[in-house]
Amino acid sequence: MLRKTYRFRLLLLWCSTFFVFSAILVRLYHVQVIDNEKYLVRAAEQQHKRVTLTPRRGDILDRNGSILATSYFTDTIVLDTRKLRRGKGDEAPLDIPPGLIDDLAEVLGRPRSQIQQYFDKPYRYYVYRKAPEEVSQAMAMIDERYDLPPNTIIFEKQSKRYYPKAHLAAHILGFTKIDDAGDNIGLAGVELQYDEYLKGSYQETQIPVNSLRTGLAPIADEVIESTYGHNLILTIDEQIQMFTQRALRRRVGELQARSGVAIVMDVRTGGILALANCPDFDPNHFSETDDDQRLNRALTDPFEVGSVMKILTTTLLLDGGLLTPSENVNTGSGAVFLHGRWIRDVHAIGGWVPLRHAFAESSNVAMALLSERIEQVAYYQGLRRFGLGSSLGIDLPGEGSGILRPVEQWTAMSRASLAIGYETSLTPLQAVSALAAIGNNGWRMAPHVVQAVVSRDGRTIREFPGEPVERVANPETCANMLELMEAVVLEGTGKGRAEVPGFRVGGKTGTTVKHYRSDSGRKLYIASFAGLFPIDEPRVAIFVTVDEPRGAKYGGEVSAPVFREIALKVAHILGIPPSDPAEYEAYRRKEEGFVDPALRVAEDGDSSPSAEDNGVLAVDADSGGMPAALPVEPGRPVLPAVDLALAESLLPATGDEDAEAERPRMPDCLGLTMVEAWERLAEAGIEARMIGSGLAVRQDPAPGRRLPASRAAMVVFAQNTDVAQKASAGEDAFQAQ
Amino acid sequence: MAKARFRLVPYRLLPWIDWLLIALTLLLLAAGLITMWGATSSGDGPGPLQGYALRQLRWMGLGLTGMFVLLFFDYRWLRRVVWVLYGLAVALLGAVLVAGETVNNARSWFNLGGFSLQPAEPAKIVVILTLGHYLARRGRVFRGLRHTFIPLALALVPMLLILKQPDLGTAAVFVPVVAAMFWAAGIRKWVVGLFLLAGIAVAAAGYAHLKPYQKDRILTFLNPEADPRGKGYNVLQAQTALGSGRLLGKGWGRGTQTHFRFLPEYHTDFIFPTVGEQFGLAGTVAVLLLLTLFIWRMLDLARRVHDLFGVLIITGFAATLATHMVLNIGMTIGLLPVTGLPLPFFSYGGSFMLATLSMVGLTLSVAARRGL
Repeated sequence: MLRKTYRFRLLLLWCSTFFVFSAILVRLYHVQVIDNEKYLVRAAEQQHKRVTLTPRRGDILDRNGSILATSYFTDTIVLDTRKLRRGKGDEAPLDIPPGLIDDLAEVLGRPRSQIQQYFDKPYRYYVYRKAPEEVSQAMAMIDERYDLPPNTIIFEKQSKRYYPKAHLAAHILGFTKIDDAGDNIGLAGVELQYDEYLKGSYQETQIPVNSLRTGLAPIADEVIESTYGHNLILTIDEQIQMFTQRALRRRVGELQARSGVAIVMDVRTGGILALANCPDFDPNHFSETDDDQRLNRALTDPFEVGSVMKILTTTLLLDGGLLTPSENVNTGSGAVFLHGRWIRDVHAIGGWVPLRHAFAESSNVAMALLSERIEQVAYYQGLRRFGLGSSLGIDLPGEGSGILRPVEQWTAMSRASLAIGYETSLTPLQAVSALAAIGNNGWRMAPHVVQAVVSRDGRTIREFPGEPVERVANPETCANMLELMEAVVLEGTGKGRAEVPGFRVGGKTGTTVKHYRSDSGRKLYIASFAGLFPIDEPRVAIFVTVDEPRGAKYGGEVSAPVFREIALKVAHILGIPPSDPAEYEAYRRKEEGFVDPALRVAEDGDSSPSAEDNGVLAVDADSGGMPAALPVEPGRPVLPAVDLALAESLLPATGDEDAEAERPRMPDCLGLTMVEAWERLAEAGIEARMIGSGLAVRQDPAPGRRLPASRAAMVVFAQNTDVAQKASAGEDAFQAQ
Repeated sequence: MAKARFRLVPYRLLPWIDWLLIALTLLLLAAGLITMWGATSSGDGPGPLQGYALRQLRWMGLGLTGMFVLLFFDYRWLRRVVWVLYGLAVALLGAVLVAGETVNNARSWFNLGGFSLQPAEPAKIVVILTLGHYLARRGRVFRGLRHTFIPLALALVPMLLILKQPDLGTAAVFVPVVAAMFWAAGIRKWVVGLFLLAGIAVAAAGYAHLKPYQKDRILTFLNPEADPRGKGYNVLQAQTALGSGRLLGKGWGRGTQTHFRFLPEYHTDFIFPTVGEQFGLAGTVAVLLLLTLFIWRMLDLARRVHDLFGVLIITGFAATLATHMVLNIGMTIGLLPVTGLPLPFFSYGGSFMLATLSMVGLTLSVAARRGL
């Protein structure tokens, strides 16, 4: 054949090739340029998976930022046996790898027959709620070993609620339960009241996935945190709450009383600094408690406050110009017959005496007679201004309104009865709120327990500063009232029981006889003390009431000592300057043997600590390994002293002494966060007191020691990492010796 | 026919070595390696050279060595042993049906203890050599229909054996190759027309005899969106990779379709979309341009050669490689049904790499001797 021929034919071949390649080029341009939007979207869609982020419930903090309630995540394990179907359709048989059921039974700790049921009726089963880490890991290993189809075993993250301080402020915090959707929902306390803020929001986000729908990148922290619930900052002061709870509990125990309530309110803002009920409960185990323990008596239980009402009556008389402070009042013969009923004094005074004296001695006669001076309507309206007869709107659920009958239902006797505290009932909260109004120059503030709602990144969502509700009296009236109340402590029913050395205090005792008697026929009392502290410039109103005490019945003897104990702690926790510093200091050295370093700010020159001078906690050698002293740095708060006895007073003693060798060993918690420490302790089967916040700086017992049955374990946390590090450095030094 | 003579030191060849074809080959191999490297690295940029890319590099080295050996080897000597080779190839194709390894439903591999061989690859070369030898001998009389019977039979025997594996794609390559060689050998135009008609008739009749999955492939090609998660999945994912690469691509080693395992067979049949995903239209056009230049250069060399056997085998090789390129790329961009043919210089696979570079080597060998 001719060379010319095939040269031409090869050229044609090349042309046809070129033609085909050109067609490819056109198509490529179409796919990669004209239509690329469509493919970009498709790639993005299939390379991402929508995931719903489970919110973490917000923390609840005290006014100083110490954590009272927090949350962490646990896995809930879901077993979806439907994924094992051999084919499509609902009737397809399951493809169960041999040995799988046995392994599941072992890991989940259930009988084999129960696991078998999951496979007999294929469905999506929740097989383990709040799974511990090792169960989750074992399930993940099963998933891998048997190469199960995707989504056969699912780990659902769930937020678990934890109250590190256990009983502390339990009635204010409330508790949560897991609802059907697996969320924590508030059932009581601020957990219920502020549920909307705390619960956070479910949020959808996209994560990159491969073709097996496996996630390829972690979700950004900001995205996760945006779903988190807000934090609550309470008006509660952890330390004041702790001491209030402790003082009340001890007193209720000593007197074998039925119950008790103590409230500490900041008179300037209406914020509750402490609110204690006895009995109380541990919200970590709320389901094991009964209604009696969970009842927030401070809000729900109105009672006839007795003589405490004399404060309100006197205030209204003075304010209305119906009585002057210097006036002499009639106390009759210690008894008076009024509107067909006898009114008697406990300690008869007799005759005309100065108002101050009658008030201090709590004369029922004088007060009943004086009450005749005020118009019924004016009296009623005055008491309403004090907040009686309606709930005060505190930000806690279940607040009662007490009883104050409308004027139409009053009898001729009513004014006299009201004046000495009968025919009306107040909740302890109403009592403390009315009292606080007098301490606040006559302005009644709205009571509240939440100071602010703060987002996780620190933005303030809502703030609740003090909100004045009503003016109950003129400032001069209030000043007069303060003097009268001081007289109660100096020379009256509170004498020798309510004084706080170094401070001027004032208050009013109250003793109510209950309408019914005990089974043994004994008369039953409610003993109260309402006090302002310090009386020269009131900062807090404290109301203490003990229900059905035995052995003592008067407010002065039953409740005033509790007031006194709380006031002493409040004085130095809030840093209230004593009116007589020398007396204060002398008293503390004598009575308590040391200067409580709580919140004490170290001064320059304090940097070479000697344990005694700086008042640093002396260490019990038996506890082992606790640092003898923490270094003190100028300008930095010294760690709060740890009251070992507190742990005992708040936690019921557990275990018996014989089983000492069986007691769990204390793990090393130093340097851990609260949740980490809690988990480690939980592993060891120890439930410990957690005090403070930040990183663990001390613990008792020392790492590796057995926990004695006689006392509770305790871990102390500090915010400042320097302190924490130094504390653990001190730990090393101690052990080296 | 002139008796071939052997020269151990081919000094006289040196001026005739076609450096352009060698350069194009090296460029394509480099592009293939870079693509493979980027497609098989761990994501977020290329990692160290390893895995498929590293093994591919070894095959390239072996193939290039073979290519240069063949360049200095006098191709005309092959005409002496062509029938032996043909017999051997047919025997191997027969044997693989009996003793071969089944991969993806096709019995097309010999497993030689850690080393596997696809006899269809050398068979392609052998058939081209055999046809070239036969047609070159009858060069001046190869005109009409009756002259085509014997060469057709020569091509059909191995083709049917490959079809039996079944490997429709590789068997299909024989059709354009034989057609191109007949055409270059000077067959009359009306015979070509006749073949075209017969081809359409056979295709129509043959469709009924296709295996179900082969029918599926054709239906899927016509409408890939019908079953995007099943049969249309591969092609859709390939186009998604290409399309999402847009003009300039996602960057070397940053192809998400590849790394997130959406694109199947991305290192073999579907490697072309990874070019598009990593380097965009710029990359695919560049590769297409290199491939076009490569085919052009082979056919251009064929036009300068005087020896008809040489012309015909270069034509056969060019047709083989071009068919692979068109069928592979056409499949990935949705122009043609899925055939499972690898892309020369790019797809991973030792046998195919060696076969490709052998063809290049023989082409260079023919071209280098055009001046003799």
